[in-house]
Amino acid sequence: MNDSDSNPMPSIEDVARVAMLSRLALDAEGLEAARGDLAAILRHVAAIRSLDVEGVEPLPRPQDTVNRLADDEPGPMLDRDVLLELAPRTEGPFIAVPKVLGEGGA
Amino acid sequence: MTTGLTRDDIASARLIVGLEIHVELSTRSKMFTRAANPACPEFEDAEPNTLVDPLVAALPGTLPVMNRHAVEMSAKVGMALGCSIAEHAKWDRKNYAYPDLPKGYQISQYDLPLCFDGAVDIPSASPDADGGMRRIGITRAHLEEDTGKLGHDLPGGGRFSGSLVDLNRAGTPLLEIVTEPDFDCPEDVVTFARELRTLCRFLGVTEGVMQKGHMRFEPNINLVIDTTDGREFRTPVIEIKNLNSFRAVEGAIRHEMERQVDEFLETGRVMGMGMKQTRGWDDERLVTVLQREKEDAHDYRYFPEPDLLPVEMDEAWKDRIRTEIPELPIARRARYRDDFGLPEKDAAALVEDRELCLYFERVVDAQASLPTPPAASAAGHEAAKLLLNQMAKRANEQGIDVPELGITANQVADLLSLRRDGTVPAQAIDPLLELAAGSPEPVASLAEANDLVAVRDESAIEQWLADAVVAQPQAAEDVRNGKDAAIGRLVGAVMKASGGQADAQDVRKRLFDLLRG
Amino acid sequence: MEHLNDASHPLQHESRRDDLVDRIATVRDGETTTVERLEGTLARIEAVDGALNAFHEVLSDDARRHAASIDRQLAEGRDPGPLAGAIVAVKDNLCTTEGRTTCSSRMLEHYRSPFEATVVERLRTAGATIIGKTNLDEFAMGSSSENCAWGPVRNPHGVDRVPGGSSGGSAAAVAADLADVALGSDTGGSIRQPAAFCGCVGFKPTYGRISRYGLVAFGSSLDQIGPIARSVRDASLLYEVMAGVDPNDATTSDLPVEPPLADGPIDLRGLRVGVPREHVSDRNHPGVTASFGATLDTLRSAGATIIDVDLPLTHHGISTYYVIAPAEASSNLARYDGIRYGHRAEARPGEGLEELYARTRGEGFGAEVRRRIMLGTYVLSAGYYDAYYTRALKVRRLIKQELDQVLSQCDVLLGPTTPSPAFRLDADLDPVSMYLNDVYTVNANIAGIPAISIPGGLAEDDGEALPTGLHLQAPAFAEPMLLRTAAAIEALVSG
Repeated sequence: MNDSDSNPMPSIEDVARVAMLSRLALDAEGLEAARGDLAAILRHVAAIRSLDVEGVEPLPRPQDTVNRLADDEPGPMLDRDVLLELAPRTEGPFIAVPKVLGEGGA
Repeated sequence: MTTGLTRDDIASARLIVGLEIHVELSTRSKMFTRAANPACPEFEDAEPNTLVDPLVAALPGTLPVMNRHAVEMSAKVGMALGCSIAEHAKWDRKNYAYPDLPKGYQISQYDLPLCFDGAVDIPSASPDADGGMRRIGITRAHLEEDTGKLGHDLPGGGRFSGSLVDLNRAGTPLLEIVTEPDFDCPEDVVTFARELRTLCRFLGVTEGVMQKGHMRFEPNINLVIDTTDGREFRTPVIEIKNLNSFRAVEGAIRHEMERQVDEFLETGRVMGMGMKQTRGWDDERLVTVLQREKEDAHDYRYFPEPDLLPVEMDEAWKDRIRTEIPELPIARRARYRDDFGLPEKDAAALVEDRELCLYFERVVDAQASLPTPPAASAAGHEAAKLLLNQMAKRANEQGIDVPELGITANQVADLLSLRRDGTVPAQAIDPLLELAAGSPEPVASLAEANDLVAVRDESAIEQWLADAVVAQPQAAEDVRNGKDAAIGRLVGAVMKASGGQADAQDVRKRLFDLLRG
Repeated sequence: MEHLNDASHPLQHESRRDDLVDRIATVRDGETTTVERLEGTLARIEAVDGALNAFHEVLSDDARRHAASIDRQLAEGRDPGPLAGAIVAVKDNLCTTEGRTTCSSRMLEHYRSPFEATVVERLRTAGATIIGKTNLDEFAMGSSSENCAWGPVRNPHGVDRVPGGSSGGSAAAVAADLADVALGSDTGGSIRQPAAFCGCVGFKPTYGRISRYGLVAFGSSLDQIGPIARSVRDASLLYEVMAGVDPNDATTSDLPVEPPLADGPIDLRGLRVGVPREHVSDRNHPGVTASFGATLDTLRSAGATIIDVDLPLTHHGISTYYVIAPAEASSNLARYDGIRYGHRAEARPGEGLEELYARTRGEGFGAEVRRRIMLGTYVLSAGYYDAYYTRALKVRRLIKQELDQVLSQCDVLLGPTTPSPAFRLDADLDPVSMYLNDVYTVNANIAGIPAISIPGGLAEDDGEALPTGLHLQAPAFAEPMLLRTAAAIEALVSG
């Protein structure tokens, strides 16, 4: 990732890792296509890497307002039937999912 | 690979532990929405999936809004832990996929936590402790949201082959406190954990019921192993997830102290990138078990939460929060010890429970406003004894807490005073507590109305004493000869003669004086 | 909003032009009824929407009920609100309790929202009748309204042309008179570009002016809801109804909302209009260049002061945008996992949750959405984060500073909305060329400033005369200045 590398081409391993993190099932062909797409977009996006941003603070949102807080008061909730009606699969009062095989949450 | 080393080659293995603590804050509504919070006692018994609103279920179009009370509770804990409060705190998204995490990201704080750089002094069991105390550094305390719960048990019995999602807990405010790796023995970790629990209860930010998961402990454990040939090795850091009892905290650390030595001898693995493991605690087999490897290789893609504004606390706001912080448990215990002469155990018992402690303080204060106030030490000492013995027993029998007995602090102060000047006999305390419960009457009136006032007629008492000695010559003789136990029969005779209105303790004392002069 | 009913209000002095303001006046005056207007609109939808595909769902029954209720209230002498009589279409990424909210995605094909977007609620409270949900690029990702789960939208000015995107359904609906006005959402130009392609007014207010609660998030720090309308005053009226602080959206501003056109169109004499050199480049379509040049001449004759200004970072906007928006989208779209709602792939025996997740998302999302999720995940992932994401946020600040600085030298910025008029459906643009459609609009989102596109005359392309857009930008929260200027230019250009 140095600046002379103006034509970033993600490796197929990179693309596979990104697909995994994105939770998108892609076959070998899909990965290769995604790699081409990513490369084309990144080639365009790479232009910003030529700009001098020394000492510039990142701007995550347009306005710099702070402190929008709510009172600690319970409000309306969803009827459980409405919640369960939305779910593709339920068991009793629960939303049902297949077994978690791999490693899990934080 | 093996190290070729054996236990005999190890000169020492020093323990290093840092602790992460998750505290579920007992706000009434959740962290980022108005759905009710199961960590608040009002809602703890809710049916599965009933504390859910569109935001909790991560329905499309929902947006988080920060709960002010959760922020203030967190700052309060941070201040009590000696932390600095950030001028500018922001929230970030921690991206990972798990079915108990509805949004696919957790709103947490990455680089600008609300509280940071604190320290707590605890009594230490470590041989290296300075004057029996040790300072535990607090790296940070940040505010995030809890996840939902995954289970397998179907209502009415039966087990589901997959996972069952209950979103009630999703979005409960969670304060994560991270210490420096300043512990070098399991005892200190437990002391700190207990201290923190008492502190949080005192600050009113959690009920602190461990079985309900209100507080969860995650020690990060490794060892510095010195070999006899002068080499030093650091074992990989192991994080033990979700311990919810002090016993488990201690057990897990003790187990790791052994296991990490064995593993090191067997594999030679030392600390380094990709080596961090997560393990869990098996409460039945009393061992830690591997949950996942390469914990540090996760890619959480943290980035600033665009839907929430940062929080900036000005001095006025901080001051307002600071005034809500009561005297902290450690200071309180020391005061009870020093000012009231309470044994450590009693001081701890009073401070353990915030409501009991505040009730105790009210009783002490009420005594100070009596017409003839007792010395402060007596006021505290006597109040503690009454609260922790007779009143605690009574409350326990009824399955409630002492402050819920329906006896006012003033009534307790009066009772102690009446007892102190001998107006009521010792055996009148229990019946008077019974009468006072729920009654607005002063204790003195209750004693009067119920014939519980001690007989103060000196000549009558003298006569009963003399009669008893005559009626029980053998007992009197035994007492004269030093058999204290024999006094009981004489006391019984006097009490019978008085119709139960003499003060038994006073009678006992007088009998000893009479017979042993 | 009472001023609009006031005969002395400046808006009431203009000649009739059959925009929303005129139309609701005919309902108030008793010339017609809401029901009558609705039936006419439903008939037009029936006649032409088969060809245009502007609507996902027409809520005929609900709309008829609402319209009847509005008419009843008027008959009883009650005031149903400033939008009584208005027929409004809503982009299908805004949550409505009536009908489905699909975002043009198979992922949400059958999804019904149990709650309503704040803007929809405010429109209803103001008396509007919601006629249906309009087609869009899936999850608002696109500039042509071709990335749609149920077929592309076509441009009423030429059905072989795209209507622009992502709010293409809303723009087409207004252009074809299938609604008086429509709601869109704009993340990089998604209101203004389709408005330009379809000859409508499209207005994106300042970030934080209008609640995003109930807008299905794409790029949270860029998204803003706004109207697509027949006139600037229509857009202004919708803005007034929708704008203002919302306790459900922490990013909404609590600054008071002034009626933007209370003082009427601005006097163009002496108005300092900044024209960025970078927006009038020779890369623009010749028809766009010609019509924009004509507009400048008209403005000069009307007494406006045209100032050439420099925005050298203009072309870095797209690059910055294609880091920030996908990064936020990759996280915003993580919730579509088929667990709590939406599409779930058919489970296969022995398959774990991870595989099911990945197949669900692989099936449920279209190609462009998958592409942007991957891109967003990539720029946020370890090793690339600083080179792309952090850097983009820094460039974002530079772009904002540059715009702030230039806007301190003039009253508004003016340029063409897009480099070209509507292209053909079969143009088959590669992703990057498609993204460049937003080159002039995207920086308003990056900086969070208000911007509007108004019709800017016709451009000839391939023998067809197609609409173009004039793009105006103003400082944050300067909606009155922006809309008053837009109203003045609108009167000049159309008159």
